[in-house]
This record gives sequence, structure tokens and C-alpha cells, in this order.
Amino acid sequence: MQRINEDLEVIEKDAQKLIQCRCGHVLGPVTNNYKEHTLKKESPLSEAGPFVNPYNIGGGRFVFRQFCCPDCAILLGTEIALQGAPLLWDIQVKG
Amino acid sequence: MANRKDVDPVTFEILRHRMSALNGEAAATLQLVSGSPVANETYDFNTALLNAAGEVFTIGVYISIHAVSLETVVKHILQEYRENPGINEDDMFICNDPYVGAVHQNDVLLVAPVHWQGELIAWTGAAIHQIDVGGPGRGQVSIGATSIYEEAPVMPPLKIVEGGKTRKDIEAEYLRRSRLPELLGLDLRSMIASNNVAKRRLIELAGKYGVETVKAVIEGITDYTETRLQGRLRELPDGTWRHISYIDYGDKIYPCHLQMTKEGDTMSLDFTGTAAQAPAVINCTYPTLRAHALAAILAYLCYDMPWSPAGVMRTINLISQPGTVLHAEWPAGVCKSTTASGYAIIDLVSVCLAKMLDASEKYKHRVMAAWKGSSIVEELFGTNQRGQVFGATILDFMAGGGGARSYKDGIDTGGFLHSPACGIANVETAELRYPILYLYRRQEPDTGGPGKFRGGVAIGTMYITHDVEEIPHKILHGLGMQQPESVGVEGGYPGSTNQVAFKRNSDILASLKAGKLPQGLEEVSGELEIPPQLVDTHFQRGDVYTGIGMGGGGYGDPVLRDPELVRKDVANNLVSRRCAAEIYGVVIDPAAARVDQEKTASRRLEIRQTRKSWLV
Repeated sequence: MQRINEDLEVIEKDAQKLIQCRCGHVLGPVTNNYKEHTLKKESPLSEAGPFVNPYNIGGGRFVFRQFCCPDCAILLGTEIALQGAPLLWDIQVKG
Repeated sequence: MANRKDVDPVTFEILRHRMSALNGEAAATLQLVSGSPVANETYDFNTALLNAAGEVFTIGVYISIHAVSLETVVKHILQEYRENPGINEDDMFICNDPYVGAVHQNDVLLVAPVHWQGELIAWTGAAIHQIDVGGPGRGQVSIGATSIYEEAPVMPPLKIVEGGKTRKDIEAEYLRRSRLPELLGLDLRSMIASNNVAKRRLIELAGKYGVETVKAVIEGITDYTETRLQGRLRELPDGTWRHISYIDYGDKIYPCHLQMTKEGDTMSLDFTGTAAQAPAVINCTYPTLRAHALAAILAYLCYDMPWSPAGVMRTINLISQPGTVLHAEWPAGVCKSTTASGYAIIDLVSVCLAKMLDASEKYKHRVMAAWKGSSIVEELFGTNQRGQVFGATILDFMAGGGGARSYKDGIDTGGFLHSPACGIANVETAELRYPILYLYRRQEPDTGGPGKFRGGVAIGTMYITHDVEEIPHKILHGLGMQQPESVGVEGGYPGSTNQVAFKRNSDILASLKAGKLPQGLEEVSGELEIPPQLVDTHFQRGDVYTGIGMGGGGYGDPVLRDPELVRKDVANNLVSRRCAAEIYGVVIDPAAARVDQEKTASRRLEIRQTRKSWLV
């Protein structure tokens, strides 16, 4: 097993390398962005905190994305992104 | 010629520590001679030692990019000036040219060759941020500039000290352009003094231990850093990590990309995909890109080895495209590089390094979420209550939140990543020198990125004019207002964005007379004004100005945070009761001031159940 972080690890199953949440839920193969296999929410920046662009400068062009495990619902990652931008594949550990 | 292997380990250790100490003495000399709070309290300076070839092998504990950037300046001098005007004993060269190596025009460098019996054996260098070096805009930023020609003037390396004597003609030219020539001249003397001290101490070492031994240790320090860092990299997992940081410059957003790949004992930092350069202001040059990337690597990976940027650089492959905002080409302007593109680079490299460390059982405790990103910079120009012309750079927002660790919160108002000895000026210093009165300066609640471990909170300030009718120029330039830059890691939330506001024509003077001190802008009546991100505005008697900086990013899911830690945060006014419940899922019984365990369990369950309704 190769650690990805405290919540995710690479496991080997049926000769395939997969990304697994620590709760045991398998998200998908290492060849995919793990975020594709999470539950996702995209919100205005204000959901990230009361002092995250409180004056809405820029008219909401940025969004706050959250990604959680479909099973245990622990947050696995967050992103700040331009509206409409593709998901960032931020971690690709060589398993 | 001795090489490192000929130097016994004890002598090597003595000399490498001695060189670090003498560089520290050079830094202390600079501070003692300089009259500027920028150098003395904000520590916006650094000193360094370089080998004969111009590679930096020892830097001070102040802003690391200043020290790292000396290398390209010295290499330029070696390449271009060896024959004409020559590099002679007791010369010194001044430079603020970002296309040679200064990080931007206001960060002025002074480098000095060190000779032993006619042989060039090393260089010393110092850099200080100057409040004003001339140009169309007061202070650092030329708002509205469309090229470097419209920013502060650029000086390629000039021999300002020749054979130990300051050249009056070059000095006069340098000071003439500035609105604050006395301060500029004093800081020049402080850098001369700093270099003189470092040179003297290095020559003493050569006299005591032999010049070949000194040279061998100089090279050995860089070799040692290279070897140690390679060893660390081999222990870390191979992989690729990516991040995107953004520079929000008015109507346009400049995405900056990094793909960091680690394989074996080398790393490549590939900034391909970064936005094309802007006409001016926010860009940085390749030397500045290099300096900021190295600064982040030093902080994350080199915490227990000599900080030799030259040693680090041997393990790194930097890839960038000329003509982009992080690798601008002439004549693109760069006057705000350190608080724009520079911070984007720090963010990019920090986040990728954090995630790489998080993939290692051995090094997971070294993870830090992103520290605060770009600073709001405030500059004031006018006449004070004593009739004296003044200029000020107020750098309060450098006291940003540190990134959360994997086992501990980030440092509250801890500073910023690339200045280990970061400080900000005392409120009393600012009030003594400038006609302002602080109403508060504090750690601002709810600015640290929520997480299992919270990002450090940011600074919040509020002040008014004092004993003057007006400060005619209050220049604000702040990016990171549209989007948070200090992102979280592993489910942690980002820290706050920068934000500034005025209440114009307020009732503040009446309030103060009545004994009421406002604790927020909502307690002040007047006309709310949210200024543009870059502005040169007035600041009048009766106006109230307030700002909040960036907190650090959080680590881990906020609903995993120990409720008792949240309770303490609320008690210490670092997290509001509202955020405790909404984001952390911790309900605090206000009467008993303790965690309501049942309601907390219920709230946290509710948060996780709600997440299960998110989209696939």
C-alpha cells in the first residue's frame, strides 16, 4: 500500500492499483483523478468562511469546491477554482 | 587546492557555523545603521554570502528571496564587468534591475567582492526594501503602468563603491530620483557597512584557517546541502502534484500553473500553462521565479540543513516559458512582483510540497497547508503634524496566518513563509513617525482556514489620521481579494482573502470623544467605500480605514477537529460561535461556555448526512 495522505491510500486489488479511502471505500483506479469518484459540491466563496471575499469583488468568478467520500462523507479535498474550470488533478502518487 | 574532503569534520562544522554567524553579524550591522522601520522592525531585508562564482551558499533568517536573488546579479557582474569597469578589491555594486536579479525595483541590492591577496574568493551581499526609489508613482507601485518604462527606474549593476570609496556621482544619481533621499542614503550606508563587516570577517577567517580551507568549506556547504536534500528526496514518494494559483489584477485573472514531479533524488517544477504576462505591475522575471521557488523549498524540505540555495538548485529542474506572468520578458513591468507573482509562486510550490510530504509516513508531520498569500501593502505620503514630509510603507499584513500542520494549528499572525524572522513594526513606531492613530490591531477571528487543524488567523487593523487634516496619498495595493490564496490541504478550508474598506466622513471623532472605541467597521457610521485593489486615494480627518489580511490554510476536515479545541478558539476569540457551529459542527453552550456534546454530535451528523446528498 502506498500512502497518498491521511485519508487516502493506493491499494492493489485484482492486479489493479486503486485509490481507497481509509474507511474502505474504493474510489477508483490510480489512472483517474480521485475527485471524479467523490461526491462534490460547488458553492460561492462565502461558504468557505465569512472573510472570504465578503465584498464579492470580482462578481463571483471564483467558486469553492468540496469533495467527500461517498461512504464516510469525510472531506477529502477542497479547491478554489474559476467557474467552469475542470477539476484539478492535484495528486498522482506513483503507487 | 584543498577540497572539502581535506577539511576535517570538526573544522568544517566550526567554519560553516562561523560563516552563518558572520552573515548574521552583517545583518545586525545593517539594522543598526539603517534608520528605516522597514529594515529594523519589519525585517524586509536580507544578507548572504556567495562563492567566487556568485553562487549563494549562506543566507540570513530574514526574507529569503532577497538573499537568493543576489546570485544572478553577481553572475551578471562577473560575466559583463570583469574587464570593464573591472571587479577590484573593495568595490561594491548596486542594482535594482529585476531583469538582472533584483526581485523588483524597490528591493535594492548591494554586492561586494571579497579578495584575498588579489584573488577573488567570495562575495557578500545585502538587500533592503526601499520605500521610494523614484518614478511616476509614489512608493512601490505605479498604478496604471503599461510597461516597465512607466514604473520606478531600473538600475543595472553600477559600481557605487570603488576601492573602498563611495562614488559621489553614482550616489547622487541614485538618491536624486527618490522622494525620500535621506532614508535612501542611510540605507545605502547600512548595506555598505553590512558588506564591510562580512568581508572583514571572511578575510579574518582566511587569515586564521588558510584561504584554501575557507574556500573548501564554502564549496563544502553547498555540497552538503545538495547531498542532504538528495537523501531527503529519495525518502519521499515519487509522483506528480499540481496546483493552480491566481493573480487577481482588476478585471483580469492570471492563472499560474505548477506541475511538480519528483523522481528519485530530483524534482522538476514545471510552470507550463501559466498565463501570458501582463503589460506591467504584477509580473516577475525568471530570477524572481527562481528565488521564490527556492524560498518555498528551503522552508518545506531544508529545515535541518544549511540553507545553501546553490545546493538546492542542483536537485531542481525549473521549467517556465518566457512571456508568461511568472517569467516576463522586457519591457513588461514588475513593480509589484513580490506581492503578486512572487506569492503565487510560493503558493504553488508550497501546496505541491505539502501534498508530497503528506504522502510519506516519515515526513507527514512536516506538512503545512499554504501560508498567507499576497499582502495588502499600504503606503502613505504627506506632511506630518510636525510639518515634516514623510513617506511610509506599512506592512502590517505581512503578519498573516501560518498554514495548519498535520498535527497542530498554523501559527496565528505568524508572518509569511519566506521570512523565518518575520516581524512587523510596532504600532507605536508607526504612530510616532506618521500622523495616524490605530484604533486596533489584532488577531482577526474566523480568518484561519478551518480544518481538523486550523490555519493561523490573520491580522486585522483599523486606524484614522491623527493631528493632520489629510494624508493626501494613501496608496493601497492588494491582490488576493477576489480569491483566497492560502488554500487548505486534505479537506482543510482556505484562509481569508485580503480586504480593505473605508468609512468616509464618519462619526469616529465624536465616538472617541464620548469614550467609545469601535471594534469593527459596522460600529462606525459614515459612507462605506470599498476601494479598487490598486488605488492612490486621500485619507482625511474623520475617515476610518480598516483591513484584514490572509489567514493560513487548514488541514483536514473541520468536522474532525477536537471540539475542545474549537471551544478554546471561541474563548480566545479566534473563531466565532457561528463558525464553530456552521463549519466545525461544534455547538457551545453560551451560558456554561463549554461544548454541548449532544448538540455537537447531532450537528456533525447533520453535516455529514448533508454531504451525502452532494452530486456525484
